[in-house]
Amino acid sequence: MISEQTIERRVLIFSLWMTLGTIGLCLVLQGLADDNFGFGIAGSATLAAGFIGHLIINSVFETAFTQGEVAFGTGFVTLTALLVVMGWARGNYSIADQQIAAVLMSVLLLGVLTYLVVKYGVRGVFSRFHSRHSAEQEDV
Amino acid sequence: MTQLQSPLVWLFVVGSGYLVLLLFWARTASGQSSAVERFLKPVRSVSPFIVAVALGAASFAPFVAMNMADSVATQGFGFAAISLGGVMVPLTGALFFKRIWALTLRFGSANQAHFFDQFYGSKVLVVLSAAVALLFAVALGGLLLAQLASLFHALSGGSFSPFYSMALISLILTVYSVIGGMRGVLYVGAIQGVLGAAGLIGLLVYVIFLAGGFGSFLAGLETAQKAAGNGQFGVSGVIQFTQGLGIETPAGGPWTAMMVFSTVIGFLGLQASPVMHQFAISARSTRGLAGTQTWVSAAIFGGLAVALAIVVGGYGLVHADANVMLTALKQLAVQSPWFMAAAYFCLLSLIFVFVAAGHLSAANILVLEIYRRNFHRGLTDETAVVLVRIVIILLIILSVLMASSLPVTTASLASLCLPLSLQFLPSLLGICFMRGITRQAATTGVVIGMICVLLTEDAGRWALHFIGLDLPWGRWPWTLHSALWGICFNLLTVLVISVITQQSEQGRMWRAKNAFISETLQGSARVHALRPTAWSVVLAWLFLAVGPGLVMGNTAFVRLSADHVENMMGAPSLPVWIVIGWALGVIMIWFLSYRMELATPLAARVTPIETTYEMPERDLEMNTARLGKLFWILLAIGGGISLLAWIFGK
Repeated sequence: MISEQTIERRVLIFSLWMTLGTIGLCLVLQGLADDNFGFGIAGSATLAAGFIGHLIINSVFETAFTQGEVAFGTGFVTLTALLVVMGWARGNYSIADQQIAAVLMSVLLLGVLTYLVVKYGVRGVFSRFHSRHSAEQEDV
Repeated sequence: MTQLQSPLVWLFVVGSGYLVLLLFWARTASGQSSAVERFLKPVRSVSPFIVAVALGAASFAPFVAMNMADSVATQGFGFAAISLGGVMVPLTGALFFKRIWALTLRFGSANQAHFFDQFYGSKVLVVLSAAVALLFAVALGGLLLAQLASLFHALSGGSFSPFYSMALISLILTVYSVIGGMRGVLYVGAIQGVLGAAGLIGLLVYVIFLAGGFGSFLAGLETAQKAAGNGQFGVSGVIQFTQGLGIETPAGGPWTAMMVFSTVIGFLGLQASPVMHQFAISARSTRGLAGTQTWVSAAIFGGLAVALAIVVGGYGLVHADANVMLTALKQLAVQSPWFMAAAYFCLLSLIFVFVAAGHLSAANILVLEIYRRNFHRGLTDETAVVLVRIVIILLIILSVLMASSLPVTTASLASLCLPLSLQFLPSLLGICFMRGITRQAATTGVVIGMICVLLTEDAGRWALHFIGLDLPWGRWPWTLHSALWGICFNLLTVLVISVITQQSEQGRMWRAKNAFISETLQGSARVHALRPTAWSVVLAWLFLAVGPGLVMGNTAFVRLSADHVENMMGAPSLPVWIVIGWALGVIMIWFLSYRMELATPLAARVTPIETTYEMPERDLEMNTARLGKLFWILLAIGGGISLLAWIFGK
């Protein structure tokens, strides 16, 4: 059985993403449909606000991202990146579309970076890559 | 239009996501506790903030049922004053929920009917509570489902007929209600509440965008006001002694100040209903109850009701559009189908939380308080859960069939819900505050009040017409809503009969309840000192915001000169009055909840009393004799009505 505290956190996370996530995505879609950079940037900002809200909830409940959340986030970033690349390959992007895609991808990558920093710390993130590199050298 | 810009595609995409959300939470809820706890007993372990948001969202359902924006567009800003019902709804909760929660925990009732039975020992109150719960589930639930289904039909471009749309929506509702029970409804309700509020805010912003900005919206209102005169921009006097709608139409429209007052009084009935009772007893503690009533219900959802009436209704009024909600959503579908689909499911969320809870509470009362108590005392909890699930499915099917095949009857029955539920208010007062109200008085008061409601509503008038009795008055005589007629006669009856029967013994539970209230729920000295202020605040707000004082709102913010009328605040006077009324209403609820300590956390710890009752072996079997008797009684009533209709009917 899941604790009531976990349920409360989940309700908050769902409420947050169901509202800000949906609004953010809709704004990005509107920006792409109308070639309107303003909508696109507002959508990315809304998604970023959702991510910050998620971090605040985590901090209040003194928890980290769950495995499911990490999996969902990774899937979402990958899918978005794939769609952006596919759109770019088709070559029917307007300048505004490209700008929106760039901002969205930047926000998502910034989110990934923030997640890593929050989880391992600035030094920790660097060390993880760095130590692996050293280990590889030792192997050689 | 490319395929990706088809509204149907986005309704499907967002709808699928929504279904996944509901199923996920239904499954989570089912893993949290046993089915017995989810369906038969008060959950009593859910976080207060989850209950707060679910309760607030459910409080908004009557405004959806009333087609608030569309009605303002056709009937004017007099109707918009009804949106102040958003402040009246939490008033009942602020007064009673803390005490109801404490009494339920102490004495262990499972629903409102059981609650009445425990303290009054009245079978009539149990049956009436069950009847009202049934009406909420089938009539109001059906009406809400039909409204959202007709929106879905229109937004899907007619791909789904209204009936199939309703069947689809009802299927989603059935699945998550039957799996998750009350716990599931509450978990999902919290998320739905946030979604609903976000959707309404989005819709308001979009309508202002459609109007060309807030300045253009106000300019449009001013132009329409000059063209139409003050008829649709104010209330039509304090009261008009007409014979009632259907016989005599009030001059200048039905929305007099007293009509508004009496309708808004009806909103007190929402949180006195068996549906909201179930929410109130599901919280883990009374922490957060004051916040629920003040900030979630009155401030946020009450504010959204006012904004919906003034902004969306006002936009419809300016453009003479009787279907302004549909127009706005259709316009949105053309510009951004994804936003439209999201907005639609946000609106659906607002009604789902109420409808699901309505069906659950009705099924709970019917199985536990009507069937098990009277016909099958030996029914096990496990079988009762199965029965509750079956009854939920049957009630949803019934509401779908009724709303689709008898829309006028459904609407007429749905309009009875709040006034009938309001009649329980004196009984709740008797249990929670005024120990002088006797069982006989409470029961007779409810019966008399409900009869008065029926006699001043279309449903009752039609029923009497069917058996050949035509009343000399129409619907809402003297421009007073049935809710006020009912509660006035109810209170009068309670007063008189309480005086007559004061000496009668009220029973062991009544004495235990009085002792418990005296020990646990007595207010501090400061609260006693503030009582006169509280009465003054409530009466002043009722008089000025929704009562006869509303007529001052017609001209309070206009500058009259010889040749023209100028709006001092840049907007017509009555909407400004309503907004101020809402703000003062929030302060009033805050004062009652916090300063008067009516909804603050309990100071003392409440422990449940132990009751052990060995049921005699002979009572455990199904009482077929009694079931047969009920069948013959119902048959006799049906036969009697048919005979009367045959002899005297027209």
